[in-house]
Amino acid sequence: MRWLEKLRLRGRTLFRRGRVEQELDEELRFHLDEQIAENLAAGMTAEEARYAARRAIGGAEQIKEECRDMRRVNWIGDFAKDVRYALRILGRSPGFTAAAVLSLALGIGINTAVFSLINAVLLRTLPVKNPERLVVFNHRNDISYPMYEDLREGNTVLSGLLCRFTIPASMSTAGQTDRISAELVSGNYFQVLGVEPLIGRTITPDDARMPGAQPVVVLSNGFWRRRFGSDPGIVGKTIRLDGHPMTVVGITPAGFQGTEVGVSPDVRVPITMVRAMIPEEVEINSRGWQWLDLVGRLKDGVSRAQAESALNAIYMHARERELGSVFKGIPPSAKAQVLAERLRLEAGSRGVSELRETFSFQLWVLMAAVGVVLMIACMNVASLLLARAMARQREIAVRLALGASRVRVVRQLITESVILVLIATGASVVIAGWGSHMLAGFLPEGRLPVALNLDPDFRVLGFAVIVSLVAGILFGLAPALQLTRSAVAPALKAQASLSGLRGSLAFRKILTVAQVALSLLLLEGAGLFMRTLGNLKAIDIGYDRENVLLLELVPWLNGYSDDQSTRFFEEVIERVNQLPGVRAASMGSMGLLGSGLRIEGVHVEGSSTSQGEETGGWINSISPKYFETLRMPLLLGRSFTVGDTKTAPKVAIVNQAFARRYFGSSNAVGRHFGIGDVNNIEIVGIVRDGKYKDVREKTSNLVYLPFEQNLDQPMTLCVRTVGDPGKVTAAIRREVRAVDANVPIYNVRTLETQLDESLSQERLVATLSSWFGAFALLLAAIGLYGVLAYNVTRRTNEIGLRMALGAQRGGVIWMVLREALLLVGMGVAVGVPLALVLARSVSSLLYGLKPTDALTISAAAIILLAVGAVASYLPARRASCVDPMEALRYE
Amino acid sequence: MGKPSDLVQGTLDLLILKTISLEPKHGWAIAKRIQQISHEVLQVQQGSLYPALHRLEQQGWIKAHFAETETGRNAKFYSLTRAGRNQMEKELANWDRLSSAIDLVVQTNEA
Repeated sequence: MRWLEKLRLRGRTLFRRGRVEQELDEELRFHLDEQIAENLAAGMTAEEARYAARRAIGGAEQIKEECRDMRRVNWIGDFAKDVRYALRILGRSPGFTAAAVLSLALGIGINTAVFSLINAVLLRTLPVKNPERLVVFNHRNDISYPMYEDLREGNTVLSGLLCRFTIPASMSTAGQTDRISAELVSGNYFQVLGVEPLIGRTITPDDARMPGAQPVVVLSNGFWRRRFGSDPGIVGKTIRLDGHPMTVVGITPAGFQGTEVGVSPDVRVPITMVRAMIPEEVEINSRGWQWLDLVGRLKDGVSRAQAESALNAIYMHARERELGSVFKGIPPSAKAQVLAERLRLEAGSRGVSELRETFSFQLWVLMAAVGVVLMIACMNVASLLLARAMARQREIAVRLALGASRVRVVRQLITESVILVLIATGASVVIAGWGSHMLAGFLPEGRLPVALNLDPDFRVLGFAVIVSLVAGILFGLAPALQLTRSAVAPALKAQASLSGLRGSLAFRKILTVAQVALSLLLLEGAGLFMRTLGNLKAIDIGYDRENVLLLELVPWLNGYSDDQSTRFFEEVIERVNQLPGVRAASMGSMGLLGSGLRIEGVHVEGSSTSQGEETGGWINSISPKYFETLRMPLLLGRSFTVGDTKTAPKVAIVNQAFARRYFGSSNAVGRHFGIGDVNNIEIVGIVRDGKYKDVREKTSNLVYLPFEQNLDQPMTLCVRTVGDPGKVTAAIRREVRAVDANVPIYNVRTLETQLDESLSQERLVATLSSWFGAFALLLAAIGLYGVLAYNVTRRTNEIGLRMALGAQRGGVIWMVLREALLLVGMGVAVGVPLALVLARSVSSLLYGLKPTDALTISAAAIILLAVGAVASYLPARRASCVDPMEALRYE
Repeated sequence: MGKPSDLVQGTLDLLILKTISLEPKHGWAIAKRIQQISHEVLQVQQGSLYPALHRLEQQGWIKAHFAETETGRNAKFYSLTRAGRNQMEKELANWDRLSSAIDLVVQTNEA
């Protein structure tokens, strides 16, 4: 009962404030009147009585305030007052408020944006049932459908195993055609993941019994909202996918994007509908078409290691059978390689993601960079608050003198900071939402556009809240403490407040130095990454990258023998060469900045191999006209011709590195060497060095062999086109299919995209880090400007005096400039060693320069000094325009 | 007016509770009553009395109501609640224990 009464009293104090105050007044007045009555009775005059009574009671207002405090809810009233007051104060200086809110909002916003990206790519678990029981396979997109069935039916360790394949598709309804992304899924896809439909039904195993039998499609939630305006009536209707009519049977729940992070298919179709969705004539039951990605769900009580060994037993067994039957044409060396392959299971709770594999470290580096940006922003706001607090020092001194407690004043100042943070956080949500999508736009697009789930979840919101709180405390507390520490009496005098001010100014200068140092870190980082990207772009790959289309062919997987494969390749080359728009076409086993290189032992008569040097060479089996197609300059000797057949004398063309390594300065043409167990190969030509697997590699020894004499697969068809390769892609595919429609075409891309993609990490880091660096620079410049401008104002009469005594304008300008350069110089002095140490941690991201690169760090320092000079220009000019008379009168 | 004897921390609460335990009183009367009974030794300052009254009220030990005094003026009267009476008994017992303990110490020293 007591708490009820207490609650009633608190409520009364809060909501019937006027009444409570009136009662308090009455109570104290009554006491006063009684005291007066008593004094009168004691024989005092009326005036004496009143005076004595008042003296006895003491400070009525203080008693009242104490009584209010006793009511326990006073702080709520105080808080409301603080908020009102803070809003009024902030409203009165819109410039300051805007600068502070903007710095903070941008700082918190980009931090949240980068974190959203990290969350989406690295942290989010799939929104499916018990995601921790899912396993993914290291074999990505290279399991055939029959192999998938072997694994699914043969195992006792998984409660379910699904397969999937994503492709671009086109969809038309009501005369409108859209480019969309589709996912072909096994019938048990939704069952294994435990995802229930929002509307209608999902795809079931019954949909995937017979090839081509069930033209049904499940729409993703986002696509349904975007394209069909959330119309539930679409279920049961027919849409055309790649021209084939399919019935919409259901919609997936919101948030579900599938098992691959970064890819969000718009529609899902039973895998048995593959012929409708893929232009090549795919035989789903062929073991040669290795294309699927698998995701499994562990049975209860089965560990990932147990499942891995059980599945590998099935996999190995199936592989051996395959090599004995359908792949019998594969040469023994390649067979051994196939048999050595193992499945590896990885935790699947976060799905699979190429982005995650490629960008983890880079994203954390960017997170650190924006963290530094936020620190600089906080320092700016702290500095601004300090400057303003100094202007308010008299106000605060008055409040302290009138009896406000120090805690009370600090609370007031903190309320102001909290309000700043709240406004900034609100704004930062908008910035983060916009920024995270923009950042995601920097991620490289593969076959399908990058689609990440960037909706803020509890982790992102928690992050934003924590960052805001930390920011608020960082910049809010210091000025408040600094201010209330100053003594009351001196602050009340007009000009004598210098002692308190000097402490604050020193503090602001320290902040400026720190800002410069932190900016230097970001500039250094940006510089290193930009130069890395520049170095990589400037690399001469040794051949012409423009207008080259690449695609991979592996006829072995269709049971071709070597001879059949050779004939197949020759016919493809001949047909493609005759296409209009094609300059030249040829084949090589090297993937060109991709996979497909094999290393072999090389032995050369009379060459020393004992120096611990690499004694091998990469092998690239090529067709004639290969160098012509890629425009690789042949330096000496001849190119391969149609005469270099299987039965002709063995010949080879080597690159410069190979010739130098094995033959030194002597002419290598005409010399003989051996590779593996093949001897007496004659070198007939030398071509220029190039980059083969990766633009970052050191040049390797490379041997070109005629593909008829050394067949290897897969072969990459290289086609140099007259214009945009995209225009002839379809025609080239058609020609390949005309030779044999059953041979799958893999990995169609241009050399340019291949090169671009290989630089996507560097591009992301370089672009974003230079943005962040520029932003940090701007903030630091504003901070420096603030300090200098304030200092000039403070020293107005000193400057006036100096000028009255004959100081020149130039001297005054130099005085301000010197201060700026001193601050920046100190910042640089602190920042340089720090930057050099920190740069080492990102050395794995650099190319062609050391983390301690002198040019980069001096450029960063010079940029900072220049920006410091620019920031000090306005204050310096104002100082030089001080009118001595005016300044001296000011006091 | 002499300096009031410093009250042991917390004893003001007890004095107030005890003073109004027989009948409701207003602040002035409480102060006067304490002064009288202690033969002018205990002088309760208004600066401590009223905050104490408000605190006790907030704690639910006492409750307030407005009523007329003998002289016909409206004043705020405080009376004990049931919880306040329990609290007073507890504090009285505490006080007894404490004061007899202090007596013991003081007398032993004199002997």
